[in-house]
Amino acid sequence: MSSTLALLDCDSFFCNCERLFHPELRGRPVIVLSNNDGCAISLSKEAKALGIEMAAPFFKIRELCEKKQVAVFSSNFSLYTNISTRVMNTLKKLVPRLEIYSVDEAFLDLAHIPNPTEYARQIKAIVERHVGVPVSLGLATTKGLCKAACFLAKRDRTYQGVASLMSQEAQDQALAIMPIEKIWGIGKGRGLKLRLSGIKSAKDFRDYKNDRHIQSILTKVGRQIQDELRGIVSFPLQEIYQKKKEIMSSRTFGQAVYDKKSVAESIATHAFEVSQELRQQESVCQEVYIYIHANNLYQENQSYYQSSFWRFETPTSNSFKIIDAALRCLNKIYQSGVEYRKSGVALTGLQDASEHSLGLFEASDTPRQQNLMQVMDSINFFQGPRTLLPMACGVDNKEWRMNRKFKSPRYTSDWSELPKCM
Amino acid sequence: MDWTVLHDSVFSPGQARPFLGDVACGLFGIAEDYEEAFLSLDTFMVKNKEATYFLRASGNSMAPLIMPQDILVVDRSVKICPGQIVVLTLEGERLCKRLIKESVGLCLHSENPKFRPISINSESDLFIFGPVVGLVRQLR
Repeated sequence: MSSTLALLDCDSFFCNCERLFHPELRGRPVIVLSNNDGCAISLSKEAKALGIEMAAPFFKIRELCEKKQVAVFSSNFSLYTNISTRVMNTLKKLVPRLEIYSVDEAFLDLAHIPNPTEYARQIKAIVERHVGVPVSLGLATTKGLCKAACFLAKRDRTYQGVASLMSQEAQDQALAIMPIEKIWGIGKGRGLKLRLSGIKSAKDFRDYKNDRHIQSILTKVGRQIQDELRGIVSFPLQEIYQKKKEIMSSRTFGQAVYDKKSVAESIATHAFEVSQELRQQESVCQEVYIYIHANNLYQENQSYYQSSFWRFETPTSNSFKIIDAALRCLNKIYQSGVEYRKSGVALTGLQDASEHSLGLFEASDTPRQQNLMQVMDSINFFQGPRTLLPMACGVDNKEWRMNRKFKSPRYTSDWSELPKCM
Repeated sequence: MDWTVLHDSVFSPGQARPFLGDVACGLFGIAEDYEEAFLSLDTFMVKNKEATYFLRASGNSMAPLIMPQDILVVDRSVKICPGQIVVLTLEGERLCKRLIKESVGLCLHSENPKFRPISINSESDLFIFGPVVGLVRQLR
């Protein structure tokens, strides 16, 4: 017997995390903005119905939001990760095997469960009652088909949030009405290429016979997605957490920045954040890469983009070494007389901390340095992030700190911000 | 930890080393076995972590049972029964009330006699968040 998988996807996840503590917003349009209130990253169905699109810049939709009384929130990631953990831990109690695919999606193994669709309904009911956010489930034999089933469950109300594409007829019907862009991993760019070849629906794509042509326009991944729609597993369930191959942090400044000190502080802060994440996944990095974005003050509309990187002889996860390298990079590319808008740091060449290579002329992190990092990490874990910072990150940061005008309280992660109850 | 270093600092060289080291190690082994004997208020108050939320009481409608600044432990996985204290939102306001079933329908009671019961009808904009299963209070 072939496998039975289900994809659980939280509906408009960030919006519904906000609604959990604002039940009066149920049935009303809600949007959540990205870091720095740049653009919309989560939309409730009511907000979509108003014509607001994903990734729409906030300044473009602001007027509409005011006119239609859309509830606008800045992103509150400590709340969203808390609710996400609750959802995933609830699922772990209900299914033997699962893959956490993103903050709001998980693939569940429902093999050997007698009536999987009925069980999926129970999962939905339990998650919604216990955690309090609405979810949809799509059942099928491959991840690609699960995605399609989930799309159906969300779009067509008659499914009540649980759709199954286990049978051939159900697959034929659903894929025929599914636009090619909506397929998992296709999107707008690849979708356009397929449309040029006359492939309009998911079904057209599945039944397209010329495998070579697909391979040539979409590479191997395209062929794998096609197989998934045919019920052939290309992407098996991965229970084990995959370490990231690259870690980055970047942000648009709250306001334009003109001095080197502020830019350096932002670079150091990003470098500190990525190095923390690096240690969390027990990796070390070989390269530090930084970039800065600016508007040129003297030549209007001319944007300025510079990047630079530093390569370590021996890979490291030490925050101070990484910050030092990032600031050395900044020295190479910094120019005065430009208004800086954005900066970012990425770590690449990641290796396992336990089995990395050694350079000839550079020592690896000493036990003493490693201990220091461990102590810093645990202080920041127990006392809250940014409790202990390298001085290079600056102490006040009001020059470039983020705009978060509409942020809700940290309801689930700070004793002083618990929701109040009369 | 390297116990020999400790001994060397305590006992001067040349002195016969007593059998102390091994005894200490043995004791530490026992202590490890009993680590779980520390009681945790968290596991006592929170039976289902994923479904449990904390809220802060304000106002004195539920006094003397619930005082302002008390932390309410709400477990959404517990089934709501009449007679229970619940957190709910009524007409956009988050309240903590005792849910009472009356002949006419549901009614929200306050512990404080100064507050009158609120009756609920089908048109009320009511959303029940969950039952209060515990109360945490710090005395300062």
